[in-house]
Amino acid sequence: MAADPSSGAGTDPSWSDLLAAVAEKRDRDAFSRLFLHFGPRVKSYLRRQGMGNAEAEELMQEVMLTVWRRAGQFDSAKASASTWIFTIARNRRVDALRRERVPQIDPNDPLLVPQSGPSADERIDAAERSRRLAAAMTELPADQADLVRRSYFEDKSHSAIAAELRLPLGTVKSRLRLAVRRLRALIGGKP
Amino acid sequence: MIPHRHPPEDLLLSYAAGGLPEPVALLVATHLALCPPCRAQSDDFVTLGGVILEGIAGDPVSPQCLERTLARLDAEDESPADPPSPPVSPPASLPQPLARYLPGPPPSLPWRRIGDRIAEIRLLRRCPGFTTRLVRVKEGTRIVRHSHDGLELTLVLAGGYSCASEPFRAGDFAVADETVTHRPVVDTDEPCLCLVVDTGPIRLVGPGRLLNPLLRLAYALF
Repeated sequence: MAADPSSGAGTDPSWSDLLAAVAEKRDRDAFSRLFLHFGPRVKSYLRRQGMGNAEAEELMQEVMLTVWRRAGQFDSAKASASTWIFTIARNRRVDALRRERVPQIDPNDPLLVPQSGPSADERIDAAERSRRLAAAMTELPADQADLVRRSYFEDKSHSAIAAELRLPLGTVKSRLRLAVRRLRALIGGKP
Repeated sequence: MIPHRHPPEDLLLSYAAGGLPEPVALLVATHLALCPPCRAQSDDFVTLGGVILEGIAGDPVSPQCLERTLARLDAEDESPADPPSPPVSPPASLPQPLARYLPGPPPSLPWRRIGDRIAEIRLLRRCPGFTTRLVRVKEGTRIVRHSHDGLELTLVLAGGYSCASEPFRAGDFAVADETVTHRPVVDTDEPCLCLVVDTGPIRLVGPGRLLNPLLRLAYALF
């Protein structure tokens, strides 16, 4: 599938360059540009999880300070800038709203079962993967794209999640599953 | 070896989105360590998170916000660096997301024995509504027939069991809800080690329901 350049706005490689400038030169101008672009988006992301204005703005600042502090850990081969900042915002949000961590694999874990041979995902770089996903989202039927998008913004209580996990097939879950399979097919992954 | 049984796609998406409660997220993350195809899928969902963040309309930010943040950068640089992530729990015999939740490798853990065939350790007690256990069951053990009032998610870490002659081996992810009545048998020649998360009580079916409460607990494992 050819990437649609008009949908690639989210993967402008210059964000990666700005992160590199922050990491290598502690470049405040680069940081300011990242802040002006991502700050309002991170704040919006946090507010959509039910946070108040002041609280969301405070946590957004924390997220951006983490970006400053950890810029050296950013690897543009592994993730686009927006994906990397998303994971920081996501982890801070889970910590702030639920006092929980997001358990994650350790890439250096000797027990990590390695991929046998390069996967389709490894043959394309992070920016290209972002572009494909952005394009695939525009090709999904509107209700399915909406369902996928909403699952990134909902912060539910434990009991709500538990209740939902118990729901039988034929409900929201199976619709989401369908949407996800379609998305995977669109980006050339296995359905 | 690639596991044969995987978490449903919606669970992988919720994990990447940060929408899963910690016990379920731990189960999914540990499966990811053992399953490269699910890891690739989960990576895509994290990437999608970035795409979605990029695509949302920003919220207005107060005019002094950038200045205030810039003013904090100096302090940020003077403060000690993030503590390095704790070293891999030695000698790691369990994959990393899980090993970090345990005080040591399995043989040294404070196992609570239930009868002579089963031992367990409770994890993540602070998460209401979820019972999270690391469970070890001796080879050859047959678990009493039972079903669940809630959902039960199981990740096999070592050894394995079979349910209605379907084998579950290391890395396999099993989902059982109230429609499933099963009687698993540990049919490997080593003990079966599993991470199990329950969202509701277990119902014993048949003669097992007469067991005393301690044994009920023991059998509430699969």
